[in-house]
Amino acid sequence: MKFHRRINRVGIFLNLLALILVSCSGKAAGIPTPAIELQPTITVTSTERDILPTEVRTNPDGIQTPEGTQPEPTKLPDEMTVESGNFYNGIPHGYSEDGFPSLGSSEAPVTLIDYSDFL
Amino acid sequence: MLAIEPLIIENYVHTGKVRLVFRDVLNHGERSERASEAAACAGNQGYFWEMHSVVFESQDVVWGTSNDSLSDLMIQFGTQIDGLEIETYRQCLEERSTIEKLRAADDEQRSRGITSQPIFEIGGHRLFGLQSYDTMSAWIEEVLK
Repeated sequence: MKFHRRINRVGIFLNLLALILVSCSGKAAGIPTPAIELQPTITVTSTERDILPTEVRTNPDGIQTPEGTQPEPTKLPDEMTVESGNFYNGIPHGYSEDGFPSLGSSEAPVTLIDYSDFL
Repeated sequence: MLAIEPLIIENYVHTGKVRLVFRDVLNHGERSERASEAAACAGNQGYFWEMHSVVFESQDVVWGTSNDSLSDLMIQFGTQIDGLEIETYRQCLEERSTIEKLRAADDEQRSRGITSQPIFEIGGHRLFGLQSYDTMSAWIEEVLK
């Protein structure tokens, strides 16, 4: 029994010795170790947060957008009603009360209706 | 009205005396419909009068184009207008989104005797056929009194 206990102790000792040698000789043997660089912790106060520039990221479409937002879809009017304020050659245009294209002020004293064809 | 329209616009529309309203008369079948649709589809984006000018100035081209190619021609007209969103315009033409409204207006006009073109209404007076600038001006001045 004493002999077996002695062998066990020697075995444990040899295992420990092997572990110590391996861990100590890693760099010397050229085994790469992961490079972990600790970053200093940055605490951003509310005032600093307000003046920090908004992070800009590029989405898969290549459009730069502020972080957390999606690019605005192009808005295409379906049935756009043009009110006075839009101009054609400097003249306001829009639609008459019954929905036909008009040119000129809606407050003009005379309305001239042109029933015509483009041909 | 094409010939005298610039004078009417310059002397009466631009000065705020007259508001010009355009109403389509569909008297030439497919050509009329396609041209009116082009103007209406451009109008959906706020470019009716630009297309009105382009089509009027290209009447010969429209007459020389077969019915099958009219849609392509109208799309080509659309490319001549700066600012017109061409894909939306093309979709409007291909889906013929405005034709029912144009036909309904034409039907309503016919029920009121508008069966030829051009016809002008000025303050309740109806003038048939092409008019000289002097005649149009005289009627406008009469209504302005």
